[in-house]
Amino acid sequence: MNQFATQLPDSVQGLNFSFSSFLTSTPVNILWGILGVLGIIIGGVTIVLYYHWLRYGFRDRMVIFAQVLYTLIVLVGFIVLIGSLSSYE
Amino acid sequence: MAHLVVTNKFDMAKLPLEPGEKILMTFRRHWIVYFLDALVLFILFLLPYTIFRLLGLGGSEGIITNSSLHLATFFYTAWFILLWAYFFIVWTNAYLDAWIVTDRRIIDIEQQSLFHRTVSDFRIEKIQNIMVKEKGLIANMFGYGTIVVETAGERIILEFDTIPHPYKVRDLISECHDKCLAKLSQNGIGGQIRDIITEG
Repeated sequence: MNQFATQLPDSVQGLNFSFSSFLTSTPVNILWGILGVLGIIIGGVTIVLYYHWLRYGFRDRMVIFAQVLYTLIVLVGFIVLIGSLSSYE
Repeated sequence: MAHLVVTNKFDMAKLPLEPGEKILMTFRRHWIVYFLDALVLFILFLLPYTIFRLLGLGGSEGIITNSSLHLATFFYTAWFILLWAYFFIVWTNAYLDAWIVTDRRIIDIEQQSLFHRTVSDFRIEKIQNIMVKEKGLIANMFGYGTIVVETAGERIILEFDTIPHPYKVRDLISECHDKCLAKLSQNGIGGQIRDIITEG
């Protein structure tokens, strides 16, 4: 540990402790709740985006590419989220 | 009298072209617009990790252990998904902006936000002045700029930012304008149009 680190104020060291504590003791139910809220937000955004893509960008190659890319990454993202939560349990 | 129609998204969802009207070109924004948006979001994506490292929380003596790694993955993935969705909102807003040049009109579609869309158009023979603005080093390097089209009579101005190859677009519009005037002259109404332009 360097000289600066030894002179850290208590509050920063305290932050380290709190963060560590947060990462190890967050209740799983809260995390599933966060996942649910995220699902609702992303679901809403996806509906709005699809509405615009189908209404104004129907058959446009770039829009089709964007649709596929967006949907795939969001699906993979949610799989990772569920997987990480299941492993955390 | 210049003709300008501003309608909402429902009226102009499928561009109602006049019988025999042909679309000559469609212009969208330059790719640099999307690139800059993506760059900002990429920096935001890296921000939590950078802060984490700067606070010294992820080193060999840091607090990330196997047990908490899943939780860190969860929060970082959630952050990534939010940024990803936001990028596509911004991209859609920019991509749905378009300028459509037909052999009779210029149609300007502006997607100002997801639920605010404006479509304006005016007849090509009413054009009085076309101005191209390339401002700044980056605009000159990447070949994009702003086109401003003014009409005679009511002084209506249409402006389209960050359009690629603005000089080519100007030439195309000028060419259409000339052809349109020549066609109208043959029909005997070109003189009236020229009078309007001169008065303007």
